[in-house]
Amino acid sequence: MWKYIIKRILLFIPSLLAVTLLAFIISIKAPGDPVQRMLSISDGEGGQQSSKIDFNKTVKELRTKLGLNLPAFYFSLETAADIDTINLISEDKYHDVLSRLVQESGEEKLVLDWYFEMKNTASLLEKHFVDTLNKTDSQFNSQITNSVALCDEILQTVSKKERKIKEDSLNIFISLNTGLADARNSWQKAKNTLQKIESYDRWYLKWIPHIHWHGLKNQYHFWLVGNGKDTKGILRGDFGTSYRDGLPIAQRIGSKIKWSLTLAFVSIFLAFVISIPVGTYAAYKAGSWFDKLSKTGTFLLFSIPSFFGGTLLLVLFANPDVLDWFPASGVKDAAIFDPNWSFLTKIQHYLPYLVLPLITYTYGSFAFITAQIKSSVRQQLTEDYVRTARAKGQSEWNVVIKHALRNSLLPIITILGNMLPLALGGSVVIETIFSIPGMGLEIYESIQNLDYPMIIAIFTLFGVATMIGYLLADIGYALVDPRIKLDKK
Amino acid sequence: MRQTIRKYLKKAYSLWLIISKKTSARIATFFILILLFVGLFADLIATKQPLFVIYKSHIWFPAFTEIWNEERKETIINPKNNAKETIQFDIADWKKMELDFVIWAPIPWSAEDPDIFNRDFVGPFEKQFSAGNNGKVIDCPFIFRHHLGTDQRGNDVLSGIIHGTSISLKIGLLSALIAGLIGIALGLVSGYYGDTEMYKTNASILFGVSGLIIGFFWGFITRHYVLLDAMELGFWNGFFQITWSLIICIGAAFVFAWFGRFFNKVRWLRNKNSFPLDLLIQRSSEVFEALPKLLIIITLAAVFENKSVGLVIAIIGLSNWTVVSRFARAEMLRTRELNYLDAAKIMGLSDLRILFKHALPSVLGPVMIEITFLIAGSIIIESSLSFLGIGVPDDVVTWGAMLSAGRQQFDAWWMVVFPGMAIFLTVLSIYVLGERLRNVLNSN
Repeated sequence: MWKYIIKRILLFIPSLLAVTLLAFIISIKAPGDPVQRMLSISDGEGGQQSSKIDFNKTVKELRTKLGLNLPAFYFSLETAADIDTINLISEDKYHDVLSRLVQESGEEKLVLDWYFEMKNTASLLEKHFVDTLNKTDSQFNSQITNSVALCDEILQTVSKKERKIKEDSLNIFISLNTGLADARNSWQKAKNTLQKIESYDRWYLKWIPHIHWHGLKNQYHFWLVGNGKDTKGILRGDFGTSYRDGLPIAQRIGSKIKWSLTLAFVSIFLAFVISIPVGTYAAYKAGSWFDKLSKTGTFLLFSIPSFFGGTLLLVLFANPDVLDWFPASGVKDAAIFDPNWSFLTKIQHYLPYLVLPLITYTYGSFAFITAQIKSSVRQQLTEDYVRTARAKGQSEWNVVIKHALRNSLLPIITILGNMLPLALGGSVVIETIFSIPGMGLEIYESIQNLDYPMIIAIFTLFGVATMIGYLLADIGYALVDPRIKLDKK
Repeated sequence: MRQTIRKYLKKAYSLWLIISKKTSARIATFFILILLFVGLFADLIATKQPLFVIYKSHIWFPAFTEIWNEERKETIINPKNNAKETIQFDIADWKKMELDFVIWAPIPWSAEDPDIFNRDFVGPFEKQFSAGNNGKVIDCPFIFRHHLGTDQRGNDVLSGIIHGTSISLKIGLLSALIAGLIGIALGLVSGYYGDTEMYKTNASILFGVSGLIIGFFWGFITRHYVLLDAMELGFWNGFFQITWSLIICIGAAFVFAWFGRFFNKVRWLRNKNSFPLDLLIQRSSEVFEALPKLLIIITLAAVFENKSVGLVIAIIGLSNWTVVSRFARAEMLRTRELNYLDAAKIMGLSDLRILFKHALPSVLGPVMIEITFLIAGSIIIESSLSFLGIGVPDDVVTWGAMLSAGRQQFDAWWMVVFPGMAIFLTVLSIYVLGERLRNVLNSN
């Protein structure tokens, strides 16, 4: 059995890696440039954007600080065409087109050349704008602004056809204006380079695999264990800072996690307390009206999605027009709540707020557990040892409770492990309906605000909690029942 | 061909005779059939465009032609004063026009079709209004009534439920299709070969595995941008390209493995060994099962910039394959004990032929029942996502989104009860039918 437990723990490691990897992939593939988002926060706080050069410098520094210029993973399987230098370009918005071009053509150096030539053209054009500012030549100026924007657009246009059209209109402007000699030079170079790229001479490169080893200096490693300077990595509880308010995420989560866990555990406990007698009695009186009723009941409850059940409860029992028994949202009344109250008073205060959420949490798992216990007890009641117990003259109570139920509770332990993930996943919906300040509501609000570090942090935490639940259930199962030989093939 | 169809029809009919012995299963089946009908023809059942109309001696079928020509335009010239009148079918306000003859759809409202006379949550039994002659406001005639009320903007709730049916069924069925295809393929293979049956030379195994890796590279890394672009275009485009990538991936493995047979000079490469296919598939599915599914679905659906129905289908489908594969594998193991597969093997049939022609039909039945339950689960997940406003685009009307709108307004009980009942009854009838099928199959 120890062999099984060790095997199970070993299996836990790849699952854990898979969760962190998934979270990491989501975090780097998430739309929007994190640097831009962070800068927009600091702008909002009163920082002034002094000049463009300064701004670009801050972007570069922040990218280095966040490690965004590093390779993403320990190794990468790429085509022989792409090599990671595209990542060095500071602005994310160009990556897509540039990497596509590199992959199609295999001419990595030319693509970079093209990018810098285009940027050069744009900045040269911009200089002319400044020169003619005094002449109040507004038409020319607006043309310049247009063509600078056009340069930028060309760098972001995926389709070859559209790029060609934009190129042509830029070409007309630059070649018609005699004053733009320096820009024209640079533009000619860029155009020729693009032509060379688009001839796709080294198309075959993208069919050749190329494994690149990056070593420990990569984003994933630093995300996991920290870079040894200012971040500590998620393994040591450092999830970074929230985009929304710039606070450390660990701090924000700490106060919220207790609500989610409390609700999950209490609801699982309640579900067990109710469903064990119901399930046992239904199995004992198989075929009776009670059995049929419980079967229909579990089916009906099972088919009500929690968001419908929760909303229905709210409409019925927290509605001034129907029955105003419970408060509709939140967990406390801020007007009278006093943090110095004793524990019992606090519970008393929370209780009316938690009744409806707990019912919503519980009814689904109640239906599930009842069905499981019923089939399990019914199975046990047909066993020989039950007949022996009856033959020995044991009371029915003893036969059913002490013999059959006790044995049928073993498989229920696995359910316990499955319940936790279900409760945590369901918490997103239920906490949103009842506005409970837990992790579920937090992830919902983060999604609404595109606060990716927060989403990833909660995702990872929930994932790990889920897997620990499964792990404990499996191990408990193996420990409790000596007959189960799990390492048998 | 005709005979096979007749055979299957006969089989289906005898199955129906057994299933329908229970009233609940009979009702559930009828309800599901109604749902399928409503989902399939939602655009004809609930639409503001008339089914048939005669307008100034022009005969049109706007609701039907809309299916292939969404923005159809017709220009009418009045012979008396040569005045031109252009009617764009999807924008025109047919209810205000002076039509000579008209047949309305059963529900003459589209899902996104604000009725300005019945705005701000008008209930099903409340007084409803509509435009009469000469700009007067009159009581709503019965055919234009909103039988299940309206939402804040005056959209018809019944019409929304009907259009939501087609979205829910689409997501439920297609995601089950994805989960089914992957799960059945992997489960079948892992049950059939097990850990010992794939007895190959070391060279073949070595080459096959490296072929799989290179195939993965060609299918998913070289074609990276092709896949991304196809997925933006829609569900079927993405599905098609991903299938191509998978074919490249598996094809490369087979071709490489075949080449392995030429490397028999070295002794070690010539030795035969069993490839632990079952172990690999089982372990990876265990790793997959340990992941928190609902959370993954919510997070993935949330971080994609472009919301789309196809994406929701793909995410739900991919997260469910392990369930199917577990059942397919168990069924395959049971089928293998029946010996007829061994007989087929001795006759010299190829593995592929045995798998598809002989094993698949007997495995399919029980697995289909599990897939039935998956459909119900997917519908619940989809509506939970829409309820949270994640995943499905905002302009697509879904049951979950309607319910979430009703949550904001407690007085409008019809916004909560009717979409909720639609989900509840759909899921319930699928469960009832699935349970009945399972019982019938087990008793046989």
